[in-house]
Amino acid sequence: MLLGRNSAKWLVRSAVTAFALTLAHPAMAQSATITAYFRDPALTGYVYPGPANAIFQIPVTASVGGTCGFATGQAPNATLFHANIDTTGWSDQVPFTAECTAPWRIAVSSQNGALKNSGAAATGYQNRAPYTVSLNVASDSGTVSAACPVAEIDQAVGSSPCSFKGTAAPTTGLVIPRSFGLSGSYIQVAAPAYSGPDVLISGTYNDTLIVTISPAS
Amino acid sequence: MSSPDGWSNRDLIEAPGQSGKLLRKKTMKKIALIAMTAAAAIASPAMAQTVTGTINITGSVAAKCMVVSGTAVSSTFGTNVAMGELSQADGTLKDSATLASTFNSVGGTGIAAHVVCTSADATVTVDADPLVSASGAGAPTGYSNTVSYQADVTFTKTTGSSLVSNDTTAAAATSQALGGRLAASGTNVVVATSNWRTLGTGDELLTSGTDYSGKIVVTVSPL
Repeated sequence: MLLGRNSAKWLVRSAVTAFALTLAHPAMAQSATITAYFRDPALTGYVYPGPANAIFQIPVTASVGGTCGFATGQAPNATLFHANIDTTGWSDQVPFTAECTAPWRIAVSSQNGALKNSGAAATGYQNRAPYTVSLNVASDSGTVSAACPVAEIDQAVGSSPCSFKGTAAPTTGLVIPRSFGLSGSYIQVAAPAYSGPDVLISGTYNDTLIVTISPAS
Repeated sequence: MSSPDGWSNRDLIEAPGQSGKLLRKKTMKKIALIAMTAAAAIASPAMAQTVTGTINITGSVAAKCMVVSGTAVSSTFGTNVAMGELSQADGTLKDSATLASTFNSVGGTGIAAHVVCTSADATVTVDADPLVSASGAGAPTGYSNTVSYQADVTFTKTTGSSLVSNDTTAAAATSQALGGRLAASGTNVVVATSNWRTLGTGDELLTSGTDYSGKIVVTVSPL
C-alpha cells in the first residue's frame, strides 16, 4: 500500500504473458507486452495510460495415452523344469495379470525355438525337443486364445504364421482388448512325450521365452 | 500478502524508482519454468512402453539304452537258438563253420537288434557260456559234455563299427566302451559265433543228451 500511494503508475510488466501463450500455442508464436495499471483511489482525475488489469489466457490441453503393463508382481516370470521329456509329457501354466487401459498387444519370443541341448546330434539323433506355447488372456471382451509351435516363435525365424511371435509393439503381437487387473490370464507351455523323429540325446534341454506387452496403436 | 485486487506483493513490487528488478526477474523465471513444464507434459502423453516377462524352461533326458522294434521300445532282445544235432556221424563235434552257420540261420532276426542309447557313448559287455550237458557230467577221458565257442558281437555305430568277442573259456566277460553312438537306425547289434570246439584234443566224442545249453549275454549300458 505504501508503494501504491507513492506512485500512481504501479505496473506489472507482463512479458511473461506472451511467453506463456507461445508455449501453449506453438503455432501462434506471437508476443505482446501488456502493461496494467493499479487504480489508486487516492488519485482522482488521473488519466491512466493503460488498462487496469492484464488478462492472461492460457489454453491448456492434455491427453492420456493410456498405460499398459503387468500388475506388480504379476508378470509371467517363472523357471520350469521337467525330467525325462523324451518319455513323459509335460505341461505348465504361468499366470499373469495385465493392466492395460486400452487395447494392447502381447508377443512371445523363444530363444531356441525348442528345448535345446547343447550337445551335437549325430544322424538319427536329436538335440531339439519341440513344444507348444499357448496364450489365454482375459479381457473386457472375453478370453483371447492362441497357440503356436515354439518353432514358429523362434527369435531367429524371420516370418511366421504365429500371431504372437516377436516383441510386442503397437503393431506387433496378438491384439487384446482392454484388460485391467483381470485374473485368469496365463501362458501355457506343453509337450507330449517325445515321439520322434530320431532319438533325443541325453542331457539338459532349455529354452527361454520372453513375453512382452505393449499398447496397441 | 496480496493486494485487494489479487496481485501478489511480488507482482506489485516493481514501481518507478524502486529496486524491484531482481525480484521481477525471479518471478518471470519461475513462471517460465512452470510454463515449460506444462508444455512438456502436454507434448508427451503417456509413453508407450513395452514390459517383459521371462519364462525359463528346462528339461532333461536321462542317459539310457533301449531296444527299438518299430515303435515299440523294450529293454531286452534275444531268442532261443536251437542248434539241433551237434555231433557228426562219428560222434565228434561238427566243424566250427557248420555250427556257426547253423547259429546264424536258426537265430535269424532274433540274434540281431536295433539298440539305441541317448548317451554319447556306451559300454558294451559280451559274456558267452559254453553249451553244457548236465546229464553228461563226469564224462571219461575221450568224451566231453561241453562245447565251447566264441561269441562275436558287432556293434554298428554312427561312424564305423566295433567287434566285441568273448570266448566261453574266458574267465570274465569282455567289456569295453564303444567310443561313439550306436547307429540310430536299422539293425546295429549282430551276434555271431566262431571257433566251435570241444576242449582237450579236439576229437572228443560228445556225450549224448538233449540238455546241451549255454547262453550269450550282450549288455549295452549308457556311458
